Amino acid sequence: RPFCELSFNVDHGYLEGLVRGMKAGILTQADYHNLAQCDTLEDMKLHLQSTDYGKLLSSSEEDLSVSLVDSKLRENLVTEFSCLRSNALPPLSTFLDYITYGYMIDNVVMLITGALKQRDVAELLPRCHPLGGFDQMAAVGIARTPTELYSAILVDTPLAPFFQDAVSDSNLDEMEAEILRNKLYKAYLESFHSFCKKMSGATGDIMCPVLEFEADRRAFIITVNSFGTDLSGADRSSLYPACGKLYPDGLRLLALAEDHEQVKAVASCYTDYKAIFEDPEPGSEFKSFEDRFFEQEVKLNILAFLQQFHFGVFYSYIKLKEQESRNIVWIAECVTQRQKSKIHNYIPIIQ
Amino acid sequence: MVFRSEEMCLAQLFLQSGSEYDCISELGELGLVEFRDLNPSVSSFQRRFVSEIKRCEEMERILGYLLREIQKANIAVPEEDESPLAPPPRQVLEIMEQLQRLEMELSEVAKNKEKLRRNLLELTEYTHMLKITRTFIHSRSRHEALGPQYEEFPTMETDSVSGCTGMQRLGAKLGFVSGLIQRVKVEAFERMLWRVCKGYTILSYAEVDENLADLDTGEISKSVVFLISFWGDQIGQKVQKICDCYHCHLYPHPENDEERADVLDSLRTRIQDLNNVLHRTEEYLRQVLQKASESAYTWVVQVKKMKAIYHILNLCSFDVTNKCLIAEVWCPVSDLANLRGALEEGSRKGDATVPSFVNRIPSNDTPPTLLRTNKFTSGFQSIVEAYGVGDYREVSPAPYTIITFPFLFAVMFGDLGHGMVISLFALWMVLTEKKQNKKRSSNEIWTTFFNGRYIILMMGLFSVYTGLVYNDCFSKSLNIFGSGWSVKAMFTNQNKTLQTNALLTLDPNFSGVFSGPYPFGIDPIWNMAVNRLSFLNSYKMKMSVVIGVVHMSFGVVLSVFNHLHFRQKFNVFLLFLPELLFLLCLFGYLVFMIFYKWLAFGARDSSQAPSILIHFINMFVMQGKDITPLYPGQMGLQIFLVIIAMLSVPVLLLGKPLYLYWLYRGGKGLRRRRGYERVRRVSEDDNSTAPSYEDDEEEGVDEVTNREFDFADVLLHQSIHTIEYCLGCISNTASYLRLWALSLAHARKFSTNNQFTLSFLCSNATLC
Repeated sequence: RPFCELSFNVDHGYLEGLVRGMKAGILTQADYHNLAQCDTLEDMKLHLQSTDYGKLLSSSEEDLSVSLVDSKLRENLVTEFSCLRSNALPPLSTFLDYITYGYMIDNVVMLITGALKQRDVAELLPRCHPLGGFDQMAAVGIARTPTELYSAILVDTPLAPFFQDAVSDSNLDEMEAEILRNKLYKAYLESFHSFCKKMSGATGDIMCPVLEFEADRRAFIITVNSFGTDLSGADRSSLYPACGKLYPDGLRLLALAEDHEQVKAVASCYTDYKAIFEDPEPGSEFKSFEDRFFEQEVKLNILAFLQQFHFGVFYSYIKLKEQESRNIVWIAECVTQRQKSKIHNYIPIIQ
Repeated sequence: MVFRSEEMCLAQLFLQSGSEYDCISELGELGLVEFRDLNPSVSSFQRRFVSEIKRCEEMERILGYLLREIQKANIAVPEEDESPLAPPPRQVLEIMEQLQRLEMELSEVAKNKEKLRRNLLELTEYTHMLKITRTFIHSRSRHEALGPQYEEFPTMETDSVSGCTGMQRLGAKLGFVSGLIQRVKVEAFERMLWRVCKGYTILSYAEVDENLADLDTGEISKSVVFLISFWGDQIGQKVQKICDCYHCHLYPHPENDEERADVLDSLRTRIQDLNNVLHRTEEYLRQVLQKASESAYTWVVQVKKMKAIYHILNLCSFDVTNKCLIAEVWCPVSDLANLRGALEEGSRKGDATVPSFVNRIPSNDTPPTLLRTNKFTSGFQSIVEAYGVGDYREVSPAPYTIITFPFLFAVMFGDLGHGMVISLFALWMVLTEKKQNKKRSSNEIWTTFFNGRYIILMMGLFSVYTGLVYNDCFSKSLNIFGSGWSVKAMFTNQNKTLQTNALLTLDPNFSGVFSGPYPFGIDPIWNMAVNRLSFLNSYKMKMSVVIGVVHMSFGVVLSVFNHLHFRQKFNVFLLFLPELLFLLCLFGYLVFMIFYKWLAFGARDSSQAPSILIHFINMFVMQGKDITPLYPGQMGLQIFLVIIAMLSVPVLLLGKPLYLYWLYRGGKGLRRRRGYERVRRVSEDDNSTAPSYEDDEEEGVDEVTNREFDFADVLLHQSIHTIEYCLGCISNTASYLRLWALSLAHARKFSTNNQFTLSFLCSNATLC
């Protein structure tokens, strides 16, 4: 639809304004600097009080611990998200639902592996990400094979369409669960990608690069993690999401790669990923390539806020806020374990 | 209300350790001073009194919990009239202890109560389940007697009666799971049960008639009782898991009817007991809360004050010996004595051996603006502050607002009756203000009205006055003094027009028709006149322009006091004079023309009266030879005035920047001597113990020249000011016409309103 920007604000203007306002509350470099100076969690609490988090940590009666901080931050994010979701109109509501599917996949896989280890469901449930919660969650452990999982439990959930390639009758073990996760994620990313592409206006322009990056990141990580396992190259290539910049040539090369050096060679063909696998310059602190991926992701997500009248800001806000939670938890972790030297390894969001 | 903002001085407070808390508390009660942050580089959690603040926050948290519980129990918290003082540090621990004890007690009782309530709910659910599943069993056994299709699913009764069935022979056990599930989830539950167990289960369910509260959330919702019968352990485990997944509340299913009756019986007695205990617990909880609510208000205020004190102490720095705290405050000069008194009082309370004292210190910083207000002036001050707060020692516009704001409102509102209504409403608020203040209403609209009660009162009173001038009372005129117009004179002369016309025009040129102006305001006869509107429009329009120009000129004149006070004489010539000339030459002349026309033309030559608008437009385009001048030499004067006004614009634009530039470049030699004087005076000040701090001569100029001078910056600033002023003059004059427009709108609206209601009443009366 041309000129959809004209009517964007009628349906989604309020929520876009809301999310931009919430984005203004993301911690700045100065806040991180202050947080990194803290000696105890109490200090961190005191500092967070002066940010948009306000009384988030002080209202609880439990003793402060890193896990409490983590769960409170997550709770905060979920509150914000559910506020957005409950006010959203289609197609934004569908878009927001798509964001939750990723978390649902992670939850399903976690529950399966938990069930394989004979863990109690009641113990596993609180560890699931609340953004990806669904009714049938607790029953996931019943399934023995992916087919059963699909036909008995997940057929009613929004994850059902992603099962097209994942249905198999092999018994679920840890490896199989991991493969299931990647297959589901591949289907999810491809579906999300085509959904965004179909969207009118700037949503596609903003979201496609972000999702393509996500797809490529998964491809890289699958490859690197598969070294030393009995996952063959052909098996691997069936897990790569086929919507990224690597598709198709890069993915073919990745499927052939057998060690880290070869992955690096593949990455060096792409300007975006070249820097991520490069050896750190001498003198600078070491960063794992996962961290560099996170950095790159943050950069991409910040870009979303440069344009108006699109849904990318919602996705980006959730991702940025998640990164912020990871940062705060990291700092809290360093503070409690007195690892001051590593405290600066967080990923700053707003310079 | 004062002409200027209060004179301030920077003072250093030396607070002896030990009594610093009491001193700050004393100062806080008085509200005399503004503290400066002496350690801005230290982050908030590294300051000295962080642990005390944390303790206060902990107390606030407990108090918040306490207040929530009190509110939940519907107990009112009595508020005291006067707020309690901050507690002395020794007493803090006591309060803290008291609060912690209360919290423990409360949470214990609340936890118990919660447990009891949950227990009770469970038992009630169990009872419901038992009652309802009985009907399932019975209906099923009846079905079984009828049809053969249930042969493979023997129920408990037949099972226990016959002792041995086909199923048992197969080694499979028949199991039952029963419980409650939320109404909304039943369908999904049933579907999943079918899919997972592939039909090896039978589910029967029925809705519970009553609404039950949820065990965990306490939400009231509809529930459904279900009974699942299944074969085999494998299926049983799956059923169990699915039940967990849907958060079903499962209860053991009784073997037979006798057991069911037994369980039901015991449940009944247990529920009764639980109800008793729960009731008693609630009673106890209420007592505890009742007791806590008595001192809750005091605690809240005390903790708040304490926290504020520690925040202030965090702003202070320590001296080298660590014996005392140093605070820097802005204090009104006239209150220094009070400040000393407060410190003495604080030292006495804190039992300090060395008293805390004040030391006045010189400073080049601009002090904060302090404008003292009382309940009458605070409303007007806040109107002014909505536009901006003046600089230190600038002339405060608020005192004049007390008159101009209500007056301009009244010009628009002008109606005796309505004004009276408003004044009475405001008067009621003013008279009952003590009572209203106590109520602390949270209604935003009401508080807006209430805070502006004095403004509304003034607006009402002025409206009464302007209503008298307009001679408008609920859009009707009052004939108090008797109209100055009389039609009688036209009758006696046997005028022809009188007989031939239905409508009469009173001609003031007839002697006797117009006997002189009405003593006060507008003659009531105009209320009946057909040309009333055109008369009033012309009058109000001109009046608006006159009021507007006077108002604006007054504002410009006020700026002179600022220039003189800050010793910036050049501003008088380079800013004030061109501004005033511009305003007066253009719009002042317009006012002159209005008055000239009023005075020069009477009833007799009114037909020759010119249109001021045409003359004013001609003045700008410098034409108008074809119309008769108002007075001899008009053209020349007008051209002269326009040229003066136009010339004052470049002076306003360039005068100040160029003068400052000249001072900066060439004027340096002139300044040196003064700079020397300044140094000497400061050194003298240092010798005296209490330095008298006065405005230095020519300080404004010094300040400007001493600073790094940026010509572009000054020029930009000045050009913005010039554009704003010149456009402002024109658009503001136009805006003042709104006085007329709104006044017209108000009068018209109510007169039509009157007409409609009156005609409506009349028609009703005739109908009756």
